[in-house]
Amino acid sequence: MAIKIDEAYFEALADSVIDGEDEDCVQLVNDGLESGVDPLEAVEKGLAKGINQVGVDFGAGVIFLPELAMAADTMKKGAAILDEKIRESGAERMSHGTIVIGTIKGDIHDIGKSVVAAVLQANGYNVVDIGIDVSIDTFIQALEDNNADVLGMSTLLTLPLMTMGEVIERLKEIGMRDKIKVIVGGCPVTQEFADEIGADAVGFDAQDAVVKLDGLMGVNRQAAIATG
Amino acid sequence: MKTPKSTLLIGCGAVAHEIVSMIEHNGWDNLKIQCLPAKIHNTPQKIPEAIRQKIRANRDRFDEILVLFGDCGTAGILDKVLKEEGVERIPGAHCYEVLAGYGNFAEMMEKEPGSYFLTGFLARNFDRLVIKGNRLDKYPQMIARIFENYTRVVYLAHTDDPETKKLAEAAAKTLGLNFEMRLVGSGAFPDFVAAKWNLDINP
Repeated sequence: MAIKIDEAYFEALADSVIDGEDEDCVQLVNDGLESGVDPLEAVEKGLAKGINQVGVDFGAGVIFLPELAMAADTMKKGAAILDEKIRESGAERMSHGTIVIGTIKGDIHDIGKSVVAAVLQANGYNVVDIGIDVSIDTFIQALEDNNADVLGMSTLLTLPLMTMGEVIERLKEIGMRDKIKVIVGGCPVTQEFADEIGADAVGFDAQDAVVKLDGLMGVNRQAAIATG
Repeated sequence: MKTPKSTLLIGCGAVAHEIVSMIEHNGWDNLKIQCLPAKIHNTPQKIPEAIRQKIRANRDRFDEILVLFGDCGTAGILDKVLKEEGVERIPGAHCYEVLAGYGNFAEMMEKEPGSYFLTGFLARNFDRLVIKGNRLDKYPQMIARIFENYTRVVYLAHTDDPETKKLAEAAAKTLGLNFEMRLVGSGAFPDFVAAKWNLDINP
């Protein structure tokens, strides 16, 4: 269906993510593409705006886990269609770097990590989400395969925490540590713990992960806005 | 046996039964308990300040205060608050680890990382705290999504009460998970309290 591409369209797209309405989101994305929307613009002004708001709302206790998961899933569905179009067009989405992200071995929690992945993607990072219960070898392999700049490790549990340190040790052993920034996160992860295992930063929530990663990668969003 | 002074135990409503039972069973009459509501676990960022307020409100009324909370998802902030207040807490990440016993919990998680734990209190209040508390009553279609990587419910039973067991089994069914019960009594709580004042534990 042909529709008008204007601010109201982008707002509706953002709202579909905030409300976790995946069917609406996919419909809006498809209608927008049919009507000539720039897929890059649809990601940045629509999906990214929506998922950023969701991150803020969850941090403020306005929304709960189901709404968070629904928003992340909706964002993923919309982004998959738009990313495909971006690839087909040969255009390149601005990327601040590639991050391999996963939940550490011994932990099956997915939603928090998925939301961080979605928010990072929305904010211009190329995100490779390698899932849950990820072993040290799998992390290393994914970093190599994707020529990644950043490793992101998450856990909601205390018992697998030390495995994060073991991944960093392995990076040192194989000479990759200097090339890879490491950000960690999850309920039991403190700044003291991150310092102890030699991580570069802790993301205390999805928005904080963007801020910390921007710092590590030298991304200056204010300057980018000022210079257009 | 050294008799403890007038002492306040600050615990969680989710394990109040286990803590009260420990006090009664061992005749530790000088130990009093006050609990925070169990639903505070749905907003762990509120736990440290809630405990600080409890400590401050009771500091003049007791000789000692002991906190029977794990870190409970506060990312070390609870420990910072307790350090500032000069109060000790039981070791552990959360009450499940304490109730199951530290070694047992590690063994269960290593065997099956997708274990979802219930105490008796949570089994009895599953609908209110887990389903409605997380708005899963509003989004029942999200139950499968939220729990998709879990494989079993482990009910950490204080006693072998058939009614509570039935409720725990029903909770597992709601979540679409296998069910297992472990009889744990009051877990590691008695050992921690007894060690603090060199108390005897009744068999």
